[in-house]
Amino acid sequence: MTLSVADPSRAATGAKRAGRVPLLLAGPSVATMVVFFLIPVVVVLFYSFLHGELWQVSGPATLGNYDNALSSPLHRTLAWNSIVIGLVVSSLAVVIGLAVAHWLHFSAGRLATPVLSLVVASMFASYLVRIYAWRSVLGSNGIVNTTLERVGLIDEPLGFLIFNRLAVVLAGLHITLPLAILILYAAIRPIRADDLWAAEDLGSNPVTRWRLVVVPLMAAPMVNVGMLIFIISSSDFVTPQFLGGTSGQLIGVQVNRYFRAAGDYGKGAALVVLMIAFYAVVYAVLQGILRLARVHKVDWG
Amino acid sequence: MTEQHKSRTAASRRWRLLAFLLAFTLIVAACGGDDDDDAGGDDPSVSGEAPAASDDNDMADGDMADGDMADDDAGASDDDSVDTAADSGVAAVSDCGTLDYLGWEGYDTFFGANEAVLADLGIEFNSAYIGSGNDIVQRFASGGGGGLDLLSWTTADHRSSRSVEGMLSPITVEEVPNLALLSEPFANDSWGHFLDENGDWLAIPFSFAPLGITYDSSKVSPTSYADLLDDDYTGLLGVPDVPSLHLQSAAGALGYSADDVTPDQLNEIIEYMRPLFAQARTISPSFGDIIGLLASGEIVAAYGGYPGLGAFTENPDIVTVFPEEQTTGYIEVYSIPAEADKRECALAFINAMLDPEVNAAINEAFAQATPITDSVPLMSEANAALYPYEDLDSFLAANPMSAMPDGSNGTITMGDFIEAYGTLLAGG
Repeated sequence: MTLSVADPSRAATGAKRAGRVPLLLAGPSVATMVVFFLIPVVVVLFYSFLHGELWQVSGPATLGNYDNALSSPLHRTLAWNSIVIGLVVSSLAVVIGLAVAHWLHFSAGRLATPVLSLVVASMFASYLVRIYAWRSVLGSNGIVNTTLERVGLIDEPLGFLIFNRLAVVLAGLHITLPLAILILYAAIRPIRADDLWAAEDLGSNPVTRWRLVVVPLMAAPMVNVGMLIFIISSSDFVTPQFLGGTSGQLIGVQVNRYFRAAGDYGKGAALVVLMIAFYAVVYAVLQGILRLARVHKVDWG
Repeated sequence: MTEQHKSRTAASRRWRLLAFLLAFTLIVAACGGDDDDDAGGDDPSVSGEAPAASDDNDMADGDMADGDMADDDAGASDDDSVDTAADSGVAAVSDCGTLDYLGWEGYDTFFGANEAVLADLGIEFNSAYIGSGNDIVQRFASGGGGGLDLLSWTTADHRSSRSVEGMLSPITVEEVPNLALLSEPFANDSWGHFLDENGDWLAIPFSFAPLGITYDSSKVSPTSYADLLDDDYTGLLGVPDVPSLHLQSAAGALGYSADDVTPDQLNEIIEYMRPLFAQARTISPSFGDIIGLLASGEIVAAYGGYPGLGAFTENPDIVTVFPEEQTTGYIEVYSIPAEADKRECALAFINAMLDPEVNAAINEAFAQATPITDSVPLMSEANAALYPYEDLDSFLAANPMSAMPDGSNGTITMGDFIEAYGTLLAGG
């Protein structure tokens, strides 16, 4: 009987090949990100230093567009509106989304599948149709006003229901909530009911179970979903145009106006770069907080 | 099978169902209609491309109606127009096949009002529609204008095309003989919008409308922009988010030309608009939205409307008045890109749209005004009631059509205006 000894050179080649596999698998994702994210961002960054006029850009490169973006009172007003509306929408979406996801996972039983289907179905309607639907609900002759008038609670339609920040928040929440529910439901599924029962057996009340079991495990998904919805809702330029009136306009509307109406790619690009930078900083801070919390085992309660 | 395994299988089924629903959603979304599809792309509504016009069929060589169409009974929606077209030489470019069109929705097929002409010329459209007139220049400026045969836009937007060198193909009167039928202010290019430095046409007008105040006459009766500052309109005024329209209207009301606004005039224009915007219920993204708000009673009047808006509702109370202050308007034009593959067919189409009967029909379809003198007697009573045809020349002299400032000779640019205009929209 002879013992076969593996060829060291073949083993090395195999190891090399095995080492390439992750790279090959990551290739399509990396290529996608480069083509659809990195290159457009670099182009926008390039434009932001140039003078834009009539849909063309020209040199020399200056910081003039950034000076304009940061010094304009209009931009400050719109940016503040965007941050406020983004924060309100994302906070509400995360809180409601987590509550629904928790119910779906732990309590809904057979109702879980039909309810999830309804959540998905709510996204079938076009974005614009959903925005217009809020006109029918909140408008002067909308469902809310006519109902209140019929039951005698008001004599005249309530004008403050629409064409302001409130309307933008409601529509934004309507549009983003299904996303929050689906993502948070996927994130909460690994938490087993056994974990909560064990905590209950050890004497913890429902609030303590949430604080010590659910929140620590869901903190990262909640932050990420919140960030995603904050970006979507604070940069929206369609909803504010239909429902925002003059008080609910967001920074995305001005970006759109620079790019499409004024043909000033330079100023529009500078605003976009600042928005990306702002989102990146907020995201980095939130991730830093999460990391610190993990390292120091912070009690979320 | 264990309970755990059963549970896993059930969960797996649920997830598969969820995944299916999600995939179905994505597929539906991906397949959904998109009005902004690129012209030149595959369009299932367009049948196979017919052969292009041969050299023998070249319009420039044909004896294309030296205004004959005006004298014939060219019905826009019956077979007569086919005969007329054939008589005048349009048939020389039959079987055009597919024209790639970029412009406002409807200015290709006019809800069927030009059906007979399209049939006669053998034209089918592969159309891409714009959300704003700027979309055209934007596309050409970024190098994406190849393959287009026909453009439609307003003169306000068309003027900015001059920033893209060689974008448009100059058109001579010989190539579009029906140009001779344009009424005087248009034929003479009174506002300097249509002709290039050689006297050739870069934009050919086929429709226009003066701007005014569209309102619900059962509730209010404004006669001037100043009326809109009354308490009756507070929070009940609609304002379309169309910057060029506001610049034109406000400049016109102050007696300036939007073509040549100076920085001082810009400040004056913005201050003139500020109290009007303060009255606004909302800033609408489009005229269609304005009509919806008027029809639903959300607003009682709209600053910057045009007479035809009322025609898109069934409410006869929605009408338009030209303000006592000077006003302006917009002119719809066709242009042909320099690199059009089917220039001859595009020329034949444009020429046919200027035929008096066809032009009357297409302007009836959009409740807009005709720039063709011989079309005026053919307009319906309803259309004639909307526009000052009786005294058109003096009306247009008193209310000149304007375009956009281009930054030359110390005037502002459209970017300057957008910057200042934004403060109005944000309640500033």
